[in-house]
Amino acid sequence: MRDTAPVLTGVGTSNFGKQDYSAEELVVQAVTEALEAAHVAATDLDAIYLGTVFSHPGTAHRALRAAGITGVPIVTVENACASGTLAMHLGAESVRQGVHETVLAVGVEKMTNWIKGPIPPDPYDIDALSGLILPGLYAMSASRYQHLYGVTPEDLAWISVKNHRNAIDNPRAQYRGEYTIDEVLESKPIADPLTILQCSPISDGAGAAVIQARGVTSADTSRVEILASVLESGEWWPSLDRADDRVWNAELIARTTERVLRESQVSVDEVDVVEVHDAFTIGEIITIEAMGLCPTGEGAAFSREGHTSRGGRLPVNPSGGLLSRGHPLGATGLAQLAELYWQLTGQAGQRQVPGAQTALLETMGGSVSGLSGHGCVVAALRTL
Amino acid sequence: MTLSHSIEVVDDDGEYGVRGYRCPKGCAASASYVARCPRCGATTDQVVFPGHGTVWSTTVLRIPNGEFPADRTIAYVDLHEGPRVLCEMQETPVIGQAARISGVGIAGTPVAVRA
Repeated sequence: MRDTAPVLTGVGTSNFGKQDYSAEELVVQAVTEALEAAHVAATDLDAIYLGTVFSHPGTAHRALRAAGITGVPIVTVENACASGTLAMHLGAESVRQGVHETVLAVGVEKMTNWIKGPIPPDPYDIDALSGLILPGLYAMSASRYQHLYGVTPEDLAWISVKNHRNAIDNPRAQYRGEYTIDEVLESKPIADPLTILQCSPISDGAGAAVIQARGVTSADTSRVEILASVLESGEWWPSLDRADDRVWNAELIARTTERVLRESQVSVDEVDVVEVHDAFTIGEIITIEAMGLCPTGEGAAFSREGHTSRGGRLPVNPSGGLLSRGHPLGATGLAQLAELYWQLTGQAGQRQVPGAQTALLETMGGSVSGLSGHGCVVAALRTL
Repeated sequence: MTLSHSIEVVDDDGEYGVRGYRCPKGCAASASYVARCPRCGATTDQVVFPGHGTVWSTTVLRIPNGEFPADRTIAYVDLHEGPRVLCEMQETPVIGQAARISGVGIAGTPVAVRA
């Protein structure tokens, strides 16, 4: 019986940030690099899963045609910020279940030519109609954390300092610079206590990954197994059990991660490197706690003690994260996946976490009021 | 009936509340449209929630957003026996302290003050 465990055999990305390239050109850059890395031809692909949020209908087909891919089933998916990660998840599951042998996951977003300021929320959402924007929602989580756990503005700013520092070694990142805590705190205020250097930027970009059944892969290729990947969607928020009063997203991230760890049989103690959804600084703190990487209420201290820095015992966002690499919504999950593939195959250059073998990927999507999030995808990866 | 997506503040002789939906068994409450309870599946009742509650969290939005100006203070207020609702605050709110809806602000948003 053929081994259908899903394995990453190649990844690719465009650069990230404001750029003149069209969505087609960004996809061509990412797909070309991924196919070449995997030694796979376009004619070898059984299916393509593409994540995007704001693209016009038909963008997936137009962009893939530009990349020389036609006559292959294309599935376009939307899951807010986790759209690219959902594409990866669906592709991996189609391989795991024996439906396909070789698939391509793609994510793309072209944002800088039409979005100025915060990402436009769902115009029919009740809180958006009252003027709530995503930075405001995250800011209220930050205020709540300040109230409950004594998290300070400096603690929040430290996440930005760390991730921007990581991005210095990422030539594809949108913002690469050394900042001090004071510079972060003195940058333009967006929603108290968050300043602009604590918010991920509007970006253009694309990412791609080739996923194959282990049985058809070659040991000559750098391979990373997707041990498990899980999609979960938001529960009622605030919880129907008022005693379980967690901040926005925490419940969903925790539930998704618990399932991935159970299905992959990976313990957090085994994890060498993590890429998480740091759309805002408070998001990284909440996420590492919800994933069980540190106790609830201790994420800020855990980070400032250096445990999540490169060189720490559990590096988080060595790529620079969304805060610095950029956040082209549909492409973000594939950018995270690409970083972890490079980390686990020793190809991360100056960003390399020495000896990394096991990784977790988390992407959180959401802007819907009354839910603990829109959708979350978490995956466990291991060098093969 | 045409569904209103915006929050609806109800003024009953100066006592303000929020129109919304509640499970008849008390499982869930929502200011936005929900036809069935997510826990027990019961058909919800349309009700007016009294406008008294507790500040869950707050922020000051420092950038303008469409018709909403910069430097606007907002808060999530947990209504007693009701949902968490987004309010505009006329005073600097304190998390955990009592608040009450005192009027209607931009785009029909509830305005709240410390109670």
